[in-house]
Amino acid sequence: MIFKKESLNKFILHIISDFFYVSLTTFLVFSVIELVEPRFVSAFINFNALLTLVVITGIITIMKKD
Amino acid sequence: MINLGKKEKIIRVVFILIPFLALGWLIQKNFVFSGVMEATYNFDKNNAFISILKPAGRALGVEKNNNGDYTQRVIIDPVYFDLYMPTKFKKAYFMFVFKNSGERGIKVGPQVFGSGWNYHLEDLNCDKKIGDWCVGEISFDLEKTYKKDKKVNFIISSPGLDVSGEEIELTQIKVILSK
Repeated sequence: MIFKKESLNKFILHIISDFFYVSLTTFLVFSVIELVEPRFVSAFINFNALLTLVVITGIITIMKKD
Repeated sequence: MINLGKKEKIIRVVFILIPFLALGWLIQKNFVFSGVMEATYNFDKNNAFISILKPAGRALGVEKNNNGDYTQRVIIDPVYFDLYMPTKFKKAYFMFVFKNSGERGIKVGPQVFGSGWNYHLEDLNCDKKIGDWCVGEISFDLEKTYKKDKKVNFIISSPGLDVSGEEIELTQIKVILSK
């Protein structure tokens, strides 16, 4: 299995970018659910961990675009 | 060369599926289709279902003992904790792991109706021992309990605890809720 380094980097950045969009959407949807029905999400999922994922993948996505 | 574009599409589909699976899991957790939910509070970190004992001052802060167990000591009676229930349950089976330094009896119970100080108290006995710790088991009917924001308030009472200088130490509260 041979990958070109450049295409592999591009592949990883695309994955991180996809992960950012999905995690951001998830975070926003879960936040709305939490506002409507308090503790529906937060009793089982750590919002801080989810937000950390969004921020980290978001920073990488922005840096990639620059 | 391996087609990375195809792999990317597969990973993208997996990423999109994860939130939907998470939402399904959350619905299952909140509506408890199995009819039974279990929560254990070991005092080591905040628990989503069982709160810390309060008020502060009557119940001291959480401490870690020499065996690595986290405990909370009660020095003035009564203290309270909240039980969060994501959906309606009929019965609650509690298991308390505690130490009672005196012979003074301990009573535990849920707030039963209204916003007044009405609690249905049951004796917490030392049913069995695990090392130095007592294990006490109590069941409550939750249908007549007072619920606010999906929470039921419970009292732990041992009258005269402050005067006697004795204390109650808890290291685990486990609850099994059933519909």
